[in-house]
This record gives sequence, C-alpha cells and structure tokens, in this order.
Amino acid sequence: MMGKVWFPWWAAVLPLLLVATQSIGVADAPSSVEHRPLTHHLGRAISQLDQGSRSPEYTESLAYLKLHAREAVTELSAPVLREPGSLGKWQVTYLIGEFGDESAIDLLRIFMEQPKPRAQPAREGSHATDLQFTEEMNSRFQAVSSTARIASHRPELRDQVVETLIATAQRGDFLEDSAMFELQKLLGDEFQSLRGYFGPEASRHFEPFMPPPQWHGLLARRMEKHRREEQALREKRRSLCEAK
Amino acid sequence: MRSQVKLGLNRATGLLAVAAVGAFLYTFMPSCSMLADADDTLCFAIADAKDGVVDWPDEEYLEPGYKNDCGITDYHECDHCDLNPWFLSQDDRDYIEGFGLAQGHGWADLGRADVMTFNEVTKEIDTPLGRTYNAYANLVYANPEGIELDRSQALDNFEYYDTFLKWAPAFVSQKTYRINGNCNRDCETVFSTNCVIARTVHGPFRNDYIDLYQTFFYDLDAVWRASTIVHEVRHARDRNSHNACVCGNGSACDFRWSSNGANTYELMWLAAYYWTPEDHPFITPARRERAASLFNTRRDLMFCEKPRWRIGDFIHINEIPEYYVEQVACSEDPSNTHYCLVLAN
Repeated sequence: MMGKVWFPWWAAVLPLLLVATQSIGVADAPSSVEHRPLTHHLGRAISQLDQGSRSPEYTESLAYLKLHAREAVTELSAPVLREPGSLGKWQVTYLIGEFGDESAIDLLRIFMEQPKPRAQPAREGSHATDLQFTEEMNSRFQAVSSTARIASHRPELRDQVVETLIATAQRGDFLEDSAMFELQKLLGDEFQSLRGYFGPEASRHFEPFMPPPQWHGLLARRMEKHRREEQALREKRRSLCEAK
Repeated sequence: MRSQVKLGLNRATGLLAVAAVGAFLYTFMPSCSMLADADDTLCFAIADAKDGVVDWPDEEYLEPGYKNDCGITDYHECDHCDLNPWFLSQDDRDYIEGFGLAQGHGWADLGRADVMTFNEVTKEIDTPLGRTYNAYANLVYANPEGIELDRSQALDNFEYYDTFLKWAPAFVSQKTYRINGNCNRDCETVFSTNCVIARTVHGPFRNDYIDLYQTFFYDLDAVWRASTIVHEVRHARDRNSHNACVCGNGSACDFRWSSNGANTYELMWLAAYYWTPEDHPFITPARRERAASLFNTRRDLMFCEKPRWRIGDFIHINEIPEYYVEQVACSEDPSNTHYCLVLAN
C-alpha cells in the first residue's frame, strides 16, 4: 500500500532529479574549447563591446579580427545562423559589422533572409514579452545595420554592401525600412539615384522627413544653439584631458 | 473482480492522498520554495547567500549552452560600471534616488545597501538596485547636463527642455511616485522566456507604483531597461494603459502610434538616444546601435497598426522635442486646438 502511495511521488521527483544531475554535469564539465588567439580576441572584443574604441583592449582585438576576418566569421556563423535569440547573439551580430569582410556580408545576408520568427503566444491579458523572440528580431535588425557598417571600414566592399541592402529592401519584408534607412545614410545624396530600383510604394523613403514650415525657424535656432553647446563641451573635455 | 475493484480504489485513494498532500504543501510553502516558484532564481540566490555574498543570476535563461559552441565565455549587459558616473559619486546616486526609488518597496530584500557589487570578470554590476541605477544612468547622462538638469521645471517648458533627452528625465521624475524591486520571475511557465518585465499599478484613490521583476534586472541590457522605465512611467500618472488588441508581441500592444501610449513614449526615447552625437561622452556606438535595434523591433511588434514612422523620421527629436510630444499647440492661433502630435498615424 505504502509503495503504491509513494510511486507517484517518485514518478514526479525522478525526472527532476535526472534534470538536476544533468545540469550539474554540464556545469562541471571541463571546457573543451581551445584557447586559440582567435577565441581570445573574440571573447575580449565582446566583453569590451560597450566601451568600444575607448578600450585599448577592444581596439587591439578588433585589429586582430580585421586581419583574420574570414576565420572569425566562420567561427561566428553557427551562433548567428543557428542559436536562438539572445543578447549574446545581438552582440556577435554587432561585432561582425565592426570587422567583417566579404564573407561577413554573405553571412549576414543569409541571416537576414531567414524566415521571420514568431513570438510564443502569451496568456490572455498577460503583458509578458517573449525575450528570446525579441532578441532574435533585434539581431535581424542589427544584421542590416552591421552590413552597412562594413562599408565604412572596408570602402572597397561598398558596392557589395549596397547591393545586399537593395536586395533586402526589395524583398519588402519587415527589414525593408531598416535597409532603406541604412542605404540613405551610406549613400547620402546619391540615395535618390536608387528610385529606379523600387516601385511607387517605396516613394516615402525618398522624401526626406521635415517638420512643417512654421517649425523651421525654431529648428534652425535650436540647431545653432546645440552646435555651440556641443562645441563648448568638447573644448571643456579637451582641456580636462590635457590637464591630466 | 472484487479484488480488482479494491486495487483500483486503493490506487485512487493513494493518488488522492498524494494530491491532497501536494495541495497542502503548495498552499503553505513560502514564496521562495521550490514548488511554489520553481523559477524564482533571484529569491533563491538571496536566500542562499554565502557569508552575505549573493551569487546574483545573470541571463541564465537566455544563454543555454551558448558558450560551448563558440568559445565566447564572457557576457555583459552594455553597462560597465566604469562608464557610469553614479558608481563613485554619492551626489549622482542621490539624484537617481529622486526618481522614486527612495520610496520603493522590496529593495531591502534585494540588497539595498549594496548597489556597487560587480562581477570581477565582466566588470558588470550584479545587484538588482545597481542595475536599476544603470538604467537611470542612461536616462540621466544621455543628456550631457546629467545631474545638473533641473527636473522640476514644467513639462511644457521646452525652452528649458530643448532636447527630448532633457525632457525625458523630467517626465520620468515628475510622473513617478514609487518604484519597487521584486525578486519574482513572472514568466508564462518555468524555464519560459516569455516573461513580464515590469508592471505599473495605477488607479483612483491610490499612489501609483511600478514593480520591476527579475527579468528587468537580469535579462535586459541597460538601454532596454531605461526605455522600459519611460514606458512604465507613461502607464503611471498619465494612466495610459495598453489597448486590447493583438500585435506581433502577442500582448502589451497599443493600437497605433497616435494612441500616444507607453509604447510610443518608449520608442521616442530610443530614437532620441540613437540620434545623439557620435562623440557623446556617455553613449557609445554599441549602445546607440542597441537603441536602434530595439526601436526597430519594438516598432514592428508593439502596435496593432504598424507605425509609418521610422527611426530616420526622428532626426530632429533632440532639436524640437515639442514637435514630437503632445504638449503644445501646433499653432499660435488660440482657436486651433490641434496638438502637436504631428507624427500621428
């Protein structure tokens, strides 16, 4: 009788114990990752990503990654294409834009062409956010921006970048607006020459956003004021740096 | 036949007994117990402190096995302590307390005295309160005046708040009564990544308050945390709740941009953060890019009718914030009652 009573307990507890044991096993397992220079620089660049060029370590690792871009892209292709969305995946996608080469443009294009992810359904009335899905979307949008950034540090790849962004915008999916925005930033006035690549539905992208005329006077005054303030701040910072 | 019936009854009795014991234990289990809140890792971490040192969780749910795949072992949340002026300045911390944290509940349980413990390897701030300070630091220092900004000026004084990034901290300060820290992880199921980040309670005859959950502290980076605060504050004294419609996010949706709700405010702040000068003393390129990614994602997901406005349309938000905020009349003609939410759709 007692055995029968305890059976459901064991049935419930046993899987929990198994899961717990497995988790401990994973946590204690020695790392099989080789400590290659590439791994070291990737890890360091990501840990210093927030500081960017303000960190000498980041600058040094980024220089290494630029020299070994193809290997680094190969190393990062699995997390970009196969891992679920996470802040870590967004960081990797951002970093690729900082050092990437031709192979990075290809990788980001494949990533951008993947089908749009879908959020898990939430309970009715719940205000929950699907974090994994949101981070996946963040990474997709970052891929567009990272593609454009490659052209800024490798001008010889500008045409390939433009071609990829045009193709992304022409697909007309959720990345269209971002791709058009990046093209606009990258090409400046030249952007208008792309009108022929798009149909009339894309005309809104070619009309620069401006507030109504009654705001232009205030806008000009504020821009001038802020320009002066920023200049003063820069000079103050420079004098503080020189005093150190 | 009779023995089979008896066996069946015994089995049923046994199962009923187990269910009754389970229900009894569940009812009286304290909140940090395994059965009641199996994913309540922050409560466990606090309860399990060794010599007073808490092993704070860090994105445990978002990184399953990731480090084993590409060898990258260090993660951080875009909020290094050495980039945060509050970290070594009591004046700065006092300024941040003034956002409603001073009146908060639950912070003592989360280590209120300890705002500056940080991870030796990643240099990231560990404590929930420290991470909340980091969020506010983004609100405060996105505007170069920092703690010198007078947040008590009227919100329609756009000669003083002449950038959106100046206006936003004043808005947050003036519209917050109390902000609480909560150790719960409010997710759809155990191990789910579908979680509530924060919740605002408002209504007549009560003081509004904002509860921040574990997801806010440990699953979001500091830029997202900051925009979440702007979002929640819009729910608070402005009493602007989400609309009952379905969007890409599945919940917490607003009908459209011109609902002028929490999602609109959150996006305006992200756009303003993005449109800061490249040599900004506090905002690094990675943070700026993060804000753009969040803007694009949230714009795509959080509205039932997708806004036509794109991040490029906010290029002047730090020059003429009043144009973007529903605070002033669009015309000097007193008979024109149209407000300046010109970006409506």
